[in-house]
Amino acid sequence: MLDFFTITTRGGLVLWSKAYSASSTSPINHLIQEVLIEERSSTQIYYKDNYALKWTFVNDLDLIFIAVYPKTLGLTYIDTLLKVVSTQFSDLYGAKILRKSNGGIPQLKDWDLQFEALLQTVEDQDASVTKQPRKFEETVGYANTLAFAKSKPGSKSPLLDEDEFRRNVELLKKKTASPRMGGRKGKGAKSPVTSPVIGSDDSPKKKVKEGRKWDGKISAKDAKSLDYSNSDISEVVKTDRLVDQSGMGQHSKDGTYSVADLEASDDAEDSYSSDDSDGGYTKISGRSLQAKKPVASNGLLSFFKNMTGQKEMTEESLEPIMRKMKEHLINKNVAADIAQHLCDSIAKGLVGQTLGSFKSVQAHVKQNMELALKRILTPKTSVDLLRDIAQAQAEKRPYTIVFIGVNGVGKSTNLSKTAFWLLQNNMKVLIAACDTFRSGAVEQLRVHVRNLKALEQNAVVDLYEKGYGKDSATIAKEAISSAKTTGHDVVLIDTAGRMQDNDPLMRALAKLVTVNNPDKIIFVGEALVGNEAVDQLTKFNAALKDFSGMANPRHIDGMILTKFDTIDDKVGAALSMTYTTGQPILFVGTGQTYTDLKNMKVSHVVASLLRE
Amino acid sequence: MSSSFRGLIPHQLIIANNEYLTLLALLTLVALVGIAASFLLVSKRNSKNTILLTGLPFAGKTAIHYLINHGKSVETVTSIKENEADAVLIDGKTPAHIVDIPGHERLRFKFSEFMPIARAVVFVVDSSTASRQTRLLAEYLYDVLADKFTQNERIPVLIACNKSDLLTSFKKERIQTLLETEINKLRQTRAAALDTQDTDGNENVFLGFEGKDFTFQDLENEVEFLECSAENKDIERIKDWMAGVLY
Repeated sequence: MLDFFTITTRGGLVLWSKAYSASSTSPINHLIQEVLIEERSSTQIYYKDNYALKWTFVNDLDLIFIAVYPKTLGLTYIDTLLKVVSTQFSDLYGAKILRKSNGGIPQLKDWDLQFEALLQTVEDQDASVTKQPRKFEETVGYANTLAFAKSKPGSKSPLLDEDEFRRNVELLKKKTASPRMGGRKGKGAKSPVTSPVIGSDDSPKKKVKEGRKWDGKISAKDAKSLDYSNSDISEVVKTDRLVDQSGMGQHSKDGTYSVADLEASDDAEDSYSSDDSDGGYTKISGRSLQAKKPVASNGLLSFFKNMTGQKEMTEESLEPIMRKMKEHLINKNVAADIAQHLCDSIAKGLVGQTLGSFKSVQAHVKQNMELALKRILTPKTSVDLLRDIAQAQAEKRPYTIVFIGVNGVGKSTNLSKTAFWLLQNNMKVLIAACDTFRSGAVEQLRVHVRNLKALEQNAVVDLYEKGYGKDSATIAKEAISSAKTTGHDVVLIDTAGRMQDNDPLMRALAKLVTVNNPDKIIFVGEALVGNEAVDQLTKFNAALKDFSGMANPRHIDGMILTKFDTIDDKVGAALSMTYTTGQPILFVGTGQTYTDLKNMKVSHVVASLLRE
Repeated sequence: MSSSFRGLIPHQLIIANNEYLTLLALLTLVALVGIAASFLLVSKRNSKNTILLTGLPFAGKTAIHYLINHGKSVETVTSIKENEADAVLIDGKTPAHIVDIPGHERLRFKFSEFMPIARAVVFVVDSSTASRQTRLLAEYLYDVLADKFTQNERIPVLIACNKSDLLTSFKKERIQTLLETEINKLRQTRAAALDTQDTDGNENVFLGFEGKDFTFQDLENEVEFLECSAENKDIERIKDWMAGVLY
């Protein structure tokens, strides 16, 4: 059963909500914070604790519809419910909401009943569809049986039957004749025979095809019961109305529609939508469940709308622009699937919006993309390392940072740049040489320490090393305890570079993290990396999680993007990395000297990404 | 004689007239320019009637926003988009333009987008979680206070300690000391932070006086604390403060 349903604005106002069980709004806040704000809404479903959440947008009204149900129940009708409810709601109250666009709170008269009715209908339909197993007659398998072949004529009108019969005869004749000639002759021969029989202006070919379709899978009746789009909904709500407001004279006319009646008749739909105007009484018209596109696109009106630039964005009209946008992002070195996700998510947020005059769709998409990029790149946690270190100082313990990454991205180099910055802030730094794998790694750090000492006269920077071949986790542990006694403020732990697929090394890394529980795990990545960025980060994160054996495994806390000076405006890696991990880029490495460590400027990256 | 006078007087008059005319023309020109300038200035002053509602998520910004604009308590969820509305604070005066900015970290950049048109900032604090969130609060508040518009235009900041109805809520004095100690630490670390990629003008400002612990009194702009409760519709003082700033 549905647990919770809510309708909110993007501004955060709950227009309407209904709880069917004791449920808080917290899963909804989580959904908004973790999916919608992060531009991950190209996914369809979100799980939080015991709940599953599905949602849909009505973009022209800035509304979000969210349904919450227990994770264990795979409710199949939620999508339909969301669709039906969102169309219905925007039909009924759309104008009202737009009128109150100045932040007003629209009154939702009667919506409770409306919603109940809709829910009931959708649930009933779902039940009737799923309760009984499919009849054999409905399966594809049946279509291949003899019984089906026999029953076929019966299911059709005799006229068509006759037509088909003739056609078959014709085909047989053709087959016996030369095949090539038959192909051409057939058309000529067929039409005079069939058209008089059908007696309509439809071309015979079309007619035949239609017939085939009907026979193919489901009977007309079944098709109707599966078709949520039209009359079913309207009639059910009608009956509901009848029960509730039978006393009102105005509505007695509507009351005459019985459930059975409406189910059968398609034309009932027309009569509903025609008397839309009667006040106070709102009903679900068949129209509400249809897409609005066809209405907007008819004739002269749409021509003028196009002239004045008032156009509603549809998936079709957005598709070429989004494709172009995606290509553009990929050209900027954004990982392909991330570009896809992002574009999907943005398109989802745009469909249905109407553009003001003199505004091109492209510019609008770009503007939205800019907002989304800013949102993704803006850190959601504090990136003030010095403040964290001050906290650790107050607690009288060294602050530990582990640098991880694949081979040759510049872990040691950027570690020493970080050390230089910390030294300038009068921190006492201990560097732990935990790369016991690559020859020369320890010596490299020793050189750095010597340089740093030479640069700052009274700097306290030391190297903790135990040579090669030892267990890095143990060395790190010893380094930290040594820092505690010697009074170092920060321990920077250098690790060996490893490819993300190297299982033994990844296990070793997870062990190092588990044993030492560092304050920050910093992933060092090249700005040159393209699609690989996603793979690296997800696998490093997965290793930290899977091999840790802890209840609350650690993950990457931040990233350093190196070789940033080499990529010009192809800064896609910054986006790929932040999007994959959700973590901020703490620094970017921009050169060969110790001072070439900078804070990343979000606006700068966004501008680079969008530059033509 | 008369003819000569006749010839002279008009002549003099003409000269005088010319001088008068040029003088008059100059004067009117100056006056016009002055009027235009003052109009521009006045209109600029008047156009700045935007008050921002900022703060961390769950502080109650959207609730306060709807209370001020519609006098109604509403249920809210995390905002994705800013809410804007014109609120009549005092009958007969031009309404204030109130913008409720989403509190989520990822959306915080919106704050700096609205800063250029801001006349005042209301920083909403959840008094019940202030001690746990001190650092987050202080970091955001620091950004607000150190913003170049706040600095240059001395934009007044109101720190509204919301949810004062809750038992666990802190008094405003306590919140003030919490924030002052935290900002004191922050201004050290912020000053020591690395440069950004392309440093376009050093925006680093130092709040308060060096060598002296930070207090809000040291700031050049007005910072005020008050308690309120959106739950109990107790926001009159916020409205009064807004009116005081605007009119």
